[in-house]
Amino acid sequence: MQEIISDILVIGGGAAGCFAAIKAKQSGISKVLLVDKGYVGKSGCSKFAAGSFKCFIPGEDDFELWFSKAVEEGYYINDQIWTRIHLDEVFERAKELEAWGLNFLKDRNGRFQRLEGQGSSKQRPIKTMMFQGPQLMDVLRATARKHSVRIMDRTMVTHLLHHANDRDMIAGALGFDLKTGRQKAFKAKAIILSAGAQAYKSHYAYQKMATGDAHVMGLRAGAAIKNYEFTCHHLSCADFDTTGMNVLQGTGARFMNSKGEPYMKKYDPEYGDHASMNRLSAAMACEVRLGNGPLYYDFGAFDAKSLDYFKKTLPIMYKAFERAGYIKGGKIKDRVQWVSVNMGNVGYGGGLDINTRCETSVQGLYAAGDATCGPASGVEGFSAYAIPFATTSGARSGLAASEYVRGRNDPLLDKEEVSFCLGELLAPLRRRDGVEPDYVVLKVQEAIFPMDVYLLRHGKRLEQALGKICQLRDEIVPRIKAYDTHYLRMALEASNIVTCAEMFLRAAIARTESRGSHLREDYPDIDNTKWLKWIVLKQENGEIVVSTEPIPVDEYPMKPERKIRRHPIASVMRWK
Amino acid sequence: MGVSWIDLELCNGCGRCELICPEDVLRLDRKEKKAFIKYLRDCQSCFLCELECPQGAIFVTPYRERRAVMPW
Repeated sequence: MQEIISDILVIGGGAAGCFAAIKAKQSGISKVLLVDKGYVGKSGCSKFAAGSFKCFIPGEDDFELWFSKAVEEGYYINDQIWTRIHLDEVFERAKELEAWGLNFLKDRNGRFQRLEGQGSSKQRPIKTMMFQGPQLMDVLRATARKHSVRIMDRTMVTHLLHHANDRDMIAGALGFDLKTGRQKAFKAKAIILSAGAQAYKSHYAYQKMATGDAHVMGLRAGAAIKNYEFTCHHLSCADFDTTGMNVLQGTGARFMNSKGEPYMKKYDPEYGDHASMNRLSAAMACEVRLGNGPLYYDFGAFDAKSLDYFKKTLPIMYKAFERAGYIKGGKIKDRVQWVSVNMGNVGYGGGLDINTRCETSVQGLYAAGDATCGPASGVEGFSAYAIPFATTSGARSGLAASEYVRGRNDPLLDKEEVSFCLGELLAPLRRRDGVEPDYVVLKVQEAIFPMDVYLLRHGKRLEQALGKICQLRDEIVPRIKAYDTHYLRMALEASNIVTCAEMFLRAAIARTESRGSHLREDYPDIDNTKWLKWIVLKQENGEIVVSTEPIPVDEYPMKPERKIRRHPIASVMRWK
Repeated sequence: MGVSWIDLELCNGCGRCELICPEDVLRLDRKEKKAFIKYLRDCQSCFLCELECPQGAIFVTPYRERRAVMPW
């Protein structure tokens, strides 16, 4: 087994990981190693970021408006200290990106071209900056290399390792080369987890690599997970996986049901078609339940300018539309069938609990970007948009970890732990026969993807789904078979998907109220008397344990009224 | 579906597609010096290989081989 020593090991080479590694180098740390199971610059969700960068611009935007909307859309689940820090620092990060070579769209006078996408209304406009999507990660890889960050591509890290003399301190990690299968033991004084979130390989574009690797590694190493009941509901073209909702909403597409009726004003009078993803998704499920499906995205209002915007900011999706025949001769099809997608917690939703220094609850272990519980954004909130938060939290984690490692000795690994983890890592390869990883993914999707499980929730149905997941965990996961090292990756991903599905269901069952994307038919009220709490998940003796932690709203600038009110969707549907 | 074909006459065996594919779908046959589709069902139709192929030898369709479970 190869042994690799570094001061700071960054796991996951998307926007958060690159920012973390670059900032660590800028702080003067000599050995910074960035590993990714893909190729840094072409891997992770950041690669396919849809060109939208929701950035508060000082002097141009109203801070109170941005902050209050972030907390309101976060349904008071935010860590408001984080929300403020994020808004304070995000423009600095945007300027850095621009200095490194990222092209933000600008008008003739050199001002940022800004679009009113999600969460923008006439009364409360929130404008996003736009960049040419695929360029972001190329710029970040080049910048990381310029800063002499050591990059190790095609290396999947599977286990975190503790210090031989202190079980509460992180000392390294274990992984393998995806091509050669060579095993690697990493020794590091600090580790930053930035390997994204969990997307359950859903019907949403280009997120199949987001399989909760960071969440599960962190959980198993003793770190706390938060906000897992708040899943990210996104929208996609029904025929194939797409992205780019911010751009499409911003350029005038509208939602229609099968009767040709625009329905969004009914579910969200203020924002209508510009509503947040969880509201759009819940509205879709309600329309389908009312017998008004299938549902469509209507591009009737699209003009040449809209299409040009689409092409510039979402070139990959534009190509997919052309290939499917939806865009022909410079014209877009009038309407296209559209669906909601459970995207796990990519973009927003649960993950590793962090403080404002990006420290998890385990010493020496940091998290950034989608790997975290999204403290700045709470349930959703426009500040959630993954790329801006990846930049602010990535930078913060890199700086904090740099401070932490200074003056520390090289860590000592626990040999017994290394050999145990290695056995676990290689088990799927050693089985003579067994179940294919794909089967496990499909079974998880069947359990949690129906709309009456993840969108319109009910305790009984969540319990039923949990039963299926626990059965998979106990009977099928121990039998997953990998034919080669490619399948070993898929096997470990499938196993992580099962663990994350269990965390999601346990948290969703525990929260006996409705709030944002967590919409329960059996508890249709937003209960600010009992539920201004975070749900925290930890692993103890191999079991996932649920607890709650009060949100210190009294110490925050924005305090909700301590009363019970109906969830807006429950009011429209007249649930009792 | 997914990545549909690689035009072997155009492919010059540069290995770019193998290097960048996020899902490890494409590999290079080092003897023949030609790329090939090895793990088709893991293709996420992200078009990266097609966009980055210097020879324009790869053709991707947006329809994935493996369709995820839908909400309704």
